[in-house]
Order: sequence, then structure tokens, then C-alpha cells
Amino acid sequence: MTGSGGKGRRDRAGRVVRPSVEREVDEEFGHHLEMRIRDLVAAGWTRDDAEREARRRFGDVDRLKADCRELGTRRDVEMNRRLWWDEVRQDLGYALRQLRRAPSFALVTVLTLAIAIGANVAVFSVVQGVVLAPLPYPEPDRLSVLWTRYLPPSGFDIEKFVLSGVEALDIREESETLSEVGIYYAGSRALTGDDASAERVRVGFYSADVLPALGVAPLLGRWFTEEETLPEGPDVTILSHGLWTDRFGADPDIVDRSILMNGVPTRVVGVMPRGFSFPSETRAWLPAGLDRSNQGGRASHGYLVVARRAPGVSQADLDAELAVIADRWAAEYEHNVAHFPWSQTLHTETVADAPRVLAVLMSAVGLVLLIACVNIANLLMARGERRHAEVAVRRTLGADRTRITRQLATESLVLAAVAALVGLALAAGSLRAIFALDPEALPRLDQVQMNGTVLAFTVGLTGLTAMLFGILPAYLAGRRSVTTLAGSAARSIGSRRSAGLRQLLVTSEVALSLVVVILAGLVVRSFDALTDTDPRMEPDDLLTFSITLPESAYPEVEEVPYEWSRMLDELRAIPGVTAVSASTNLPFQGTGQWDFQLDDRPPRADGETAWNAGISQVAPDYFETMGIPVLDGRALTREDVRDGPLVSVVSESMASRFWPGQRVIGKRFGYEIEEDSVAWMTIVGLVPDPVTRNLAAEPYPHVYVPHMQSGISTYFVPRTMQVALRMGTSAESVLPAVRSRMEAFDADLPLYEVRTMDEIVSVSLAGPRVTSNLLGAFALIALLLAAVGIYGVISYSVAGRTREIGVRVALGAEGREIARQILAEGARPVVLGVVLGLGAAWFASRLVETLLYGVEPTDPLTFTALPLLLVSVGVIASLLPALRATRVPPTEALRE
Amino acid sequence: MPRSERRLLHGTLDTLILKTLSHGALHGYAIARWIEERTGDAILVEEGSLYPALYRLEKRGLLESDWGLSELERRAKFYRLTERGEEALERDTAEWLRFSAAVTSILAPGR
Repeated sequence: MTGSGGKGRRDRAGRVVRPSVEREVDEEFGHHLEMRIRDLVAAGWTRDDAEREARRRFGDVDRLKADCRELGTRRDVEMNRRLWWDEVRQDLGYALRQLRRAPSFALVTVLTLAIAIGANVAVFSVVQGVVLAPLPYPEPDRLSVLWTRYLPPSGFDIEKFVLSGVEALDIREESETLSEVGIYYAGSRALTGDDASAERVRVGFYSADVLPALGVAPLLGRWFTEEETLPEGPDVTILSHGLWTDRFGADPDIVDRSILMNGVPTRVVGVMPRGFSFPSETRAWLPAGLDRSNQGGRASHGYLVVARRAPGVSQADLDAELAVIADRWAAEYEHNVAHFPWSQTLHTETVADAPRVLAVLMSAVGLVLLIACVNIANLLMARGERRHAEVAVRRTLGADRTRITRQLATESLVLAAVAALVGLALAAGSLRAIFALDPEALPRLDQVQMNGTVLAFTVGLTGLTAMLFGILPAYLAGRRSVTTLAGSAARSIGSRRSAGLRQLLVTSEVALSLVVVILAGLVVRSFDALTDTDPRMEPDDLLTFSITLPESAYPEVEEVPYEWSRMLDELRAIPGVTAVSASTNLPFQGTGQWDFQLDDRPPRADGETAWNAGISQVAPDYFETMGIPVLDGRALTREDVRDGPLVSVVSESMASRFWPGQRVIGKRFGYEIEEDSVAWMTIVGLVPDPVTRNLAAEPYPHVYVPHMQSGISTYFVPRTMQVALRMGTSAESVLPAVRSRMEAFDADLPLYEVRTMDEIVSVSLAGPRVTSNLLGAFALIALLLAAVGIYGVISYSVAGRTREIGVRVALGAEGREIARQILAEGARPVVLGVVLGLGAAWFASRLVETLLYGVEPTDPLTFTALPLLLVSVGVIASLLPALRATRVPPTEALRE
Repeated sequence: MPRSERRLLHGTLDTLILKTLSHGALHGYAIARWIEERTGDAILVEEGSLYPALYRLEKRGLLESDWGLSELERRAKFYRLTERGEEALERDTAEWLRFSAAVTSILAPGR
């Protein structure tokens, strides 16, 4: 009874062939019965009796058979699974051993892939946080924002203009596609009292519908009621979570407490949950005090609208309805012919430019990953040729082709997985570094995090990567093992084919990296053009901050201009300060626009929109302080007093648009103060156009008027101004003195938005800078990978031909001749790649067109210099192996 | 057969099969004979019920089988303990001894 296993039939790989479960059970039961019968017969039973007895003892054969068949089938499934896992474990162990045995190969591969995967993960996590993550409101897809398009006769087309209050109220009443229409605007308030220092915070002024539209419930208390948001309503406020915790120590009894806002006791009615901040960075909310009674004309613009579309209503439905409303306005109100309300989703509004920027970045890192894959595929192919013998041995030992391919695929996966882990760490680190430098580069950057979506992306990308770089070498290895066994003649054909393949890989690598390099080149040149743009002032050594003189502390409007002058005199006395002035809006901060009339032209008729320009009310010495050159006439001075002749300095576009070819000094324009009363300003000076928001923005006509002359109407008197100090020393050393002087002036006046002008300029460049830096980095990586790839291929090809070269040297060939030939061989795929890459880049440059400033998408310099750069990289990468080849001593080469 | 008794028998039969195979590979009939000789028909009421137990143990990876030639010069399936099977046998034996000692100390104290 000593059955040694393994006498059954075997397949080619040497495994025992099992009969089907059905036959197995039949045969096993048959054998059992046969044995029993034999024993019984031996004990003296007759054959018939023995058969009967054997069956009786065995039991219910049919039921047992059925049981065994089912169990057997399940057993086979189980065993196959176990076998599969065993093989995976084996493959994994084998793969790790292989990598340990070739540490430099493993290091190069893992590093290359880690950089490429890390870059992809980093960019994707930004895409995820900024674009893909839903807005933090219930059913965010139903939220829209409303704008109006504004076409003033000055020839500008302002796509995104705020609505007038009356228009917003019209839409709220008439719209059937919108279930809630929230109307709001932004402002600021000074907080005093509560034993805390005075501070100025951004506030939002809300109609009653804003919070219901957004659908966010307060953490404590309640929303504003409809009555509270009407004009002359009670002084009530809702606090942000941040303000509540920072200033009021998260006091749970804050609701119904009274706090001082601009010196006015204001009752807290609610606290919003953590993270709620709409519009962004708002710290508290006040009722908008809005109805038809207190709105100026239909042309008095100043309101933002956020609305929730009724269920099932699309963005297109809303736009169609707005078009109908606009048509009705055009028919009913002559004045509104230039107003075209339109809408977009809140998501589109919030992510702004980010999708376009991120699409470019994502494409670039995608290409970098492809280049990395080509490189690794190359390395694996070269390695695969060296592993000939190993594969052949394993095949003779019974491993079939799929098993070999699977083994190689496992190795690829292991490489990619290790690289992905390193890449994740790289991504997390680099992201934090980049955006810590430029937190304003993109909207919603605080949402960017390594979450489940990012991890899932990483896992998917890793698998895809392993397939991309692993599939070709694995396929070749499978084929090669056959040819190896067939004989060496077939092998040399095989390697000639793989040499061709490798050249193809170099070509594609060069083409891909040229696309990345050209895209990056365009964006970098655009950023250079942007930073080279004249800011039309001197931003260095300027400290700026904002101050508001609230009505509660400065009730006499007529006194306010004098208070500003007094304050500036105080600041002027600080040692180290060379000039001081103030403006209602400094450059790079956006600007309000006022309509005006021209005295040498008839007033605008009804149905024509008014002429307008940006306006700044400025204190004396403004141009000197800001470093703005006066091009003609004079600057505004202390002599331009309240009761003197009304004067103004205008910008170049103002002059060229309204008085082309004429000297503007002495020309007049006027602001309508009341019905039939126009305040005429005489132009006394000409300056360059200010930068309105950023250096790329088109210049817009601008006028400067003395703040002292704002008294012509109480409506004009500025209660908020931005102060600018030109310093001989650093901001840090001047700021304490500024604070103590301001404290002496009025301890309840908070300084806010304290920044140097350099910081303001820098923030305005944050987005383009990050894009340019990232693309530049990706281009460098692409270039480096291409260089490494070309070097690898040429080196490998030279190493394989040492013998041939040796023979030729021995036969008298000159080293220079050989080097030239190897160089030519390296150059061929590079040049082909450059040609293909140029074509691809020509089309790809459309992708970045909208991001470019001052550079054409087909910029000739970029399109000639960078291909040349790539060719030189190719030549240098082939040069090293070529030189090495010429130094091979023939004797050594021939011995090989 | 009541359910609890059957489960007890299942477990016991499994352990006995493992024990049987601890000395080397055997085919089904030999296993049945071995158990029969030592327990009468207390455990193996019908001989056929051995086979579902064998298939189950194989499925759990405690046994593996190969086809070989038996003393009848016929193809027969020979069962063998796997490493996991040996571990299971050790574990079951220890457990059984502990269990039976506990029960014995109650039912027949002093013996």
C-alpha cells in the first residue's frame, strides 16, 4: 500500500494531469468498493454477497457522489487561486531579488519614474482640489452667478461688470428659472472694543436670499430676516467661524450680544460654520439694506448676484431667460441698451482661469511621464538582452511563455509601485513648498490635499505606467526566448530589429520632450515679458496700508478731507520716510469708474452710455510718492485747495481717447453732482496709465483728482484711503513708528491690508509665476530624461560593437572617422524626433495661447532656439560614447 | 442524526483522518480500514462518508492528493498531509486532549 504519488500522466511542464472531478469521484469510489470486495472474498464471502455487503457498508453512493463532486469542484477553484497567489508571491520575490542584484539599474529606474509619477500626482492633486472637488454647498451644480456685459462708448468691452441694484431686483422678481436670488456686495468694517485691539475686517452685505441660495445653515443663531435686509434696518450681524473664535474666544453665548462695528453697537444674530466664507476671506456679514427706494438709476452698478436655479433648470435655460429680460430692458429703458446680463455657474466663476492653466500643466507632466516610460522601456530592453540566458534556462525548466511575460510584468509593476511610493512623497513635499511660496497662485488652493481620489489616481497611473514601459520589453523577451532556442542566427536578426526599435524610442523621446520644452519656453517667455512690462511707477521701497475713518468717530463729512491731511502730516514726520501720500485706490488694486461729460462736446444723449474713466482721489505728493512721472503740465499739490479751481491730472489713454493728437492741459471734463449741476475739472497734468489689476491688463483711461476737492459733494468724500509711504529704509524698521504715530492720531483706527508695493506686484504675478516655474521645471526634467535616454541607447549600441570597432581600427580606420559615424548614427533619430516634435508643438501651442502675454504662440525665437538646443543635447549625449569607442585598444576589442 | 452530534463527528473524523495520514500517503480505502480497525463503526457509520471529509480537507489545503497505483494494480488516489495539515493535526490533538481531560475530570473524577 505504498503508493508513491506522481504516477499519473503529466503535461509538458511536468504537472500531473488530473482527471475531471466527475471521473475522479467515480474512480475513487470504484476502487474503494473493489478493495472491500476483495477483502470480503478473502474472508470467505461469495462474490455476490461480498458486492452487496460492500455497497451496504459504503452507504448512499449517489448522495455521496453528488457531495464529493460539489466539494471537488470548489476544491479545484480554491487550489487554482492558491496556485495563482503562490506564483505571484514567487514572482514578487524573484523581482525583488533581480532588482537587488542590479542596484544601479533599480535606482535609475525608480528615480526617473518617481519624478515623473510624483509630478503627475502633484498636478493632479491640484486639479482635484481646485477644479474637481465640489463646492462646499448643497447641490452646488444649481448655483450660478450673474454679471452684466458693459459696452461704454469709450470703446471698451467689459465682459464682467457688476449689476445695478435695480437690475438685480428686477431679476429677483421676474425670474422663473431661479428659486433664490441672493444680492450682495463686499466692504469692510472696523471692529473695536471687547478688550481686543482694533481691527478692520472684510464684510459682505447680504440680501435676505444669499444664505438660503447657498443653502448653508448657521452654526449658531439664524439667517437675516427679509425685514432686516431692507433700508434703515436694525444693526445686526452674522460672524464667520474664524472671527468668532479669534476675536470672541468661540463664546457660546455670542448670539444676541452686542459688538462694536465702525463704532456702532451691532447685535450678533448668528455664527456661520467653519470654512464658510463667501465671498472669499469675508469675516462677517451685514444686511445689504436694499430695495427700490434707495437705488440710484439703472446705471448705478455695484451688486453681485449668486442664485440657485430651480430644480431641473439648466444654465442654458437661465441664460435664455436673462436674454428675454435684457430685451425687455432695452425696449423699456433707453439708458440700458449697453447692459446684457449673463450668468455662469458658481463653479466656473470660482475656478476662474485654473482649468486652462492646469490643462497645460497636466499635459506637460503627462508627456514627461511618457518620456520616462520610453527611457525605462529602453533600459529594460537592453537588460532583457543581457538576460537572454536566464530566460532560456527558465524556459527549458518548464516555464511557459505567459509565465515569463508575467514574471517580467511583475518586475515592471514592482518598479512602478516603489517609484509611486517615492513619487507620492515627492509630490506632497514639492506641492507644499510651491504653494507656500505663492498661496494666491490659484483659487481654492486650501482645498488641495492627498485624499482618496488622489490615491486612486496614483494607483491607476502606476498600473498604466508599468504597462506602458513594461509591455514592449516583456513581449520581446517572450519572442526572444524562442529564437534563442532556435539558434544564434535568428538571434542576430532579432537584435538588429531591437536596435531599430531603440532608435524609434529615441525619436519619440526627442519629439515628446521638444513639445514640453517648447510649451514651457513660450510660457516662460510670456512671464518674462510680463515682468519686463513697465509698471509705470516705482514699486520699490513703498509701504502701503488702508485706513477707514468711520462715521461714528468722524461724523462731520466736511472735516474728513482735513483729517486725512492731518494724518499724512503726522506720518511725514517719521524719520526714514521720504514721501507720504494716499489714494482711494493704488495701482494693482482695481479701480472704480465714474461717468463724466466733456465740455467741448454735447452731453451724451439718452440711449448712449456715458463716457467714463477710472478715478483716484489722491492726497498731495501722490505722483512723487508713487514714482509716477509727470509727462506734461504739473502734479497735484497743496495749493489745490478745497475752494480753489477744480483741477485734475489725467492718464495717457484718457488724453489719446478723448483728445487724440491734442495737448490736454486746459481741457475740461465734469461730474454731474446733482440734477443739472456739473462740477467741471480743468486738466493740469498728464501721467502714464496706472496698472489697474495686473501687468497684463489693458490700460484704461484714468483721472486723478485732489482729495481736498472731494467736498464738492458729500457723496465723493472718501472715508477709506490707501496710504503709501516711500521709505529710505526697510518696511520692518518703519512700521513700528507708523503704528505708534497712528495710535497717537486715533487708537481706534486699525491699519489694515499692510503690504509693501513689491508684495502687491508680486501677488499680481503669482499665477503666471507658478505656471512658468512649474513648466520650466517639467521642461528641464524632459530634457534631462531625453539626454539620458539618447546616451543610454548610443552607449549600448557602441558597447555591442566593440569588436567591430576594434577590427576596423586594426584595419587602419581613424578614430575620428569612427566617432563621426557613431555621432551620425545618434543624430539621425534625434533629428527625426525634432522634426516630428516641431510639428506636434505647432499644434500644442494653441493649448497655451490664452495664457500668453506679449508672445505669439508661434514665437519664432522659441521655435528655432529650442529645437537647436535639443539637437545639441542629442549630439552631446552621443559624443561621450563615440569618444569612448575611439579609445578602444584594438587588441582588447578583438579578444572579446 | 442530530445536528450537534454530526458536527462533533465531523470534527473528530477530520482529526482522525489527519492522524491516519501522519505516517505517510494512503488511499481512501486504506484510511477507512485504519479508522475501522481502531474505532469499530463508532465514527465511520457508513464508509462512504469518509470521502466528503477527504474532499473538504483537500479544499482547505490540509491534504493534497496524487494518483498512483494501488495493490490492485489500479489507479488510485493517494492522500498526503500538507504542512498546514500537520499543523492542524497538532492543534486539534492538543485541543482534544485538553477538552477530554476536562470532561473526564468531571464525569469520572479520580480516574
